[in-house]
Amino acid sequence: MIEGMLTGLSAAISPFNLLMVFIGCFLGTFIGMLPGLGPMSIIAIMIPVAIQLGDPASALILLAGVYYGAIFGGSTSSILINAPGVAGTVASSFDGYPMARAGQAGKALTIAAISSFVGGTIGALLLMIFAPVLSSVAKLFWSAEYFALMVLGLTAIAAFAGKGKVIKAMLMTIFGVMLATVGESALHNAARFTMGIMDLQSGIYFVTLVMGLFALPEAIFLVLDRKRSQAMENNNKIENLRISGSEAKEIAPVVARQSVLGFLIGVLPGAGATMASFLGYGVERNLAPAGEREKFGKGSVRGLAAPETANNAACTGSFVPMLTLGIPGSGTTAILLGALVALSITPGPRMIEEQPEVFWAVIISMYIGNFVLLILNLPLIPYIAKLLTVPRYYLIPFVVFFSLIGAYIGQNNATELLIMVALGCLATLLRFGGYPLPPLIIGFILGGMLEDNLGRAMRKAGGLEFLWERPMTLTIMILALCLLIYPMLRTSQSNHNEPPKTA
Amino acid sequence: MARIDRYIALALLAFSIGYGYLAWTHPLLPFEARMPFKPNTLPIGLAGLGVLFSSLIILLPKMDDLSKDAEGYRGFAWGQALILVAMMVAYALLLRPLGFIASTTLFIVAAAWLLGETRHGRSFTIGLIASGLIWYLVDNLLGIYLVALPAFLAELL
Repeated sequence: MIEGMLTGLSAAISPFNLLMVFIGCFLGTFIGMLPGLGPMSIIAIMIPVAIQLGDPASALILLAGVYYGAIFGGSTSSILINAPGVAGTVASSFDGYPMARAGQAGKALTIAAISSFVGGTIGALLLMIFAPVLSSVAKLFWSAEYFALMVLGLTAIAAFAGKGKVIKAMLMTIFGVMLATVGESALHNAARFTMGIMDLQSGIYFVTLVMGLFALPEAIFLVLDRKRSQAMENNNKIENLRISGSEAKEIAPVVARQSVLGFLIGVLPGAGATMASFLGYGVERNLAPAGEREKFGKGSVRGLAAPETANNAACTGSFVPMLTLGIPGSGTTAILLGALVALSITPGPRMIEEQPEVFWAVIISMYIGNFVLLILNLPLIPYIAKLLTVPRYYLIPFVVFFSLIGAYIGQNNATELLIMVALGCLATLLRFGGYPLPPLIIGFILGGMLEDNLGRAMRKAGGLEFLWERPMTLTIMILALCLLIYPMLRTSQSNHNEPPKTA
Repeated sequence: MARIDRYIALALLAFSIGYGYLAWTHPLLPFEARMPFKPNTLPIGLAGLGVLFSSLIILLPKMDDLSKDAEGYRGFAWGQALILVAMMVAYALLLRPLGFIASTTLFIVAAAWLLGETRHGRSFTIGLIASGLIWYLVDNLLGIYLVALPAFLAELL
C-alpha cells in the first residue's frame, strides 16, 4: 500500500498533473459560480477533453478538480448574490447571504473557504482509510453479489429521490438501463434495438447523453426563466477577510463534526453533497446553544460553516463506492465512472492493486486540489466575483455552444448533435413532469455492468436460483426491496392522513 | 401542465411495450436459445418493470405536487426557447458546410441577439475570438480534427 501511495504521489506531483489540478479547480470554480450550470454539466463538458488526455490518472484528476471546484464556486455565488450555482450550496446561502448583506462578505467567504478546505481534506483522509478496507471486502464478492449490489445501488438512488418521486426515479433508472442495451455489446453476437439505424449500431455515446440530459436543459431553463439569470447585483464590498479567534473557536467543533458526517453521507448511494449540506445545517442548529440557535438564518458563522464543510466532505465521500466497488452513488460520480470506462479503466476492488498509480494519484491530488482552491479562493475572490456579472445573452449562447461542441468533438459526427438536441428537449419535458434525471444516467452507465454480472451469475447457476441460494445476495436483494417499498408506503400513508393542501 | 407527468408516463408505457416487443422477438441463434441467459433476458425483464412502474404513475393518486411548480411557469419565454432550439439544429446542420469558425460565430451572434444583445459588432468579435480560440485548443492542443473553414474554401486550398 505504501508503495502504491508513493507511485501515486510521484504521479500526482508531476508538473502536468499539477497543472490539471489547477485547471480543473479554476474552471470548476468559475463555472460553478455561474447560475444554472451544475457540477454534472460542467464535468460533462470537460469529459471529451479529459478523454483526449489519454492518461486515466490525469483525466480523473482534472475531472475531480472540476467537481470540487464547482462546489467551491457555488458557495461564492450563494454567499455574494444569494443565487447558488449548484444545489449542494443552497444551504450555504441561508447564513452566508445575510452575513454578506451585513457587510461581512469577506469574512463569510473566508469561513466558507476554510470550512470547505477542512471538509475536503478530512474527507480525503477518510477516503484513504476507507477505500482500501472496502475494496478488500469487495474482493470477496462474485458476480451474483455485484448484480445484487448494483440493484441495491439503483434502488437506493431512487429511494433518496425525494417525497413522491420514488416511482418516477425507478422508472427513469429502468429507462436508463434500457438505453444502455441499445447497440452492440461484448456479451452478445448481434446488436440489439438499433431498428436498422446505423448510427445506433455502436450504442448511444454517453457524453451526448449527459450533455443532452443535463447541460442543454439547464440552458433551456435559463432562457425560459429569466429570474434564474437576471443581471446579478453584486454590490458587496469584499474587504477584511479575517476571522476572529473566538469565531474560529466557535466553528472548529462544527467543522470537525461535519467533516465526518458529510463524508459518511457522501458514501451512501443516492445521498450526496446536497443532502449532506442540508442535514449538516439542521444538525448544527439543533446542537447549538439556545442563544446561538436564534442566529441561524440571520448570519450565524456556525450555520455557514456546517453546510460548507459537509458538502465538500460528501463530495470526497462519494468517491468511495465509485473507486472501490465501481458502483457510483450519485449522478456526478456516475459521469466520472463513465469517463473512466471510456478510458478503458474498470474501477472496482482490483483497481487499487492493478492501477495503484491511478487510485492514489487521484486521492493525493485531492489534497493538492484543496490547497489550490484555498489559494485560488482567498486572495482572488474579489476578482473572481466580478465574473459573476457575465450578461445572460452571452452566458446562455456559450453554455449551449460548449455542450454542443463537447458532443461533437467526441464523435466528430453532426448527427450526434441532432441526437443531443432531441435528448435535451426530452429531458426538459421530463423535468417539467417532475422526473429526476440523475437516476437515468446512473442506470445508463451501470446498465452494461448490470447485464454483464447478471449474465455471469445466471450462467453459473443455470438460472435465477443464485438470487435465493446465496445468502449474501439474498440479503442485499431483500435490503433493496425494503428500500424501495418503505418510502412508497410512507408517501401513500401521509397522503391518506394529511388533508390535501391547496397551493 | 399539472398532469404532464402522467402523459409522460403514458409515453414511457408505450415505449416499454414497444421495447418489450422488440426484445421478445429478438432473433436468437440456436445455441443462444438453449442458454439460461439470453441476449433478451434482461430486456424482457426491463420491459416488464417499465410497464409496471409507468402504470403505477398513471394509476396511483398523484404523489408529488406539480401544481406549485406550474405557477412558476407563467411568464416563461417559450418562444425564445423554441427559437434557440431551432438555432441549435441549424448549427448542427451548418457545422460541416460552413466550417467551425463561421458557423460558431454565426450561432453566438444570433443567440446573443435573440437574448437581447444589440451591439452586433461586439457579439461578432466575441464569437470570432472565442471560436478561433476553441478551434486552436481543440485542433492543435488536443489534436482533434475540426474543419475550421467552409467546405468550398477547404476544397480550394
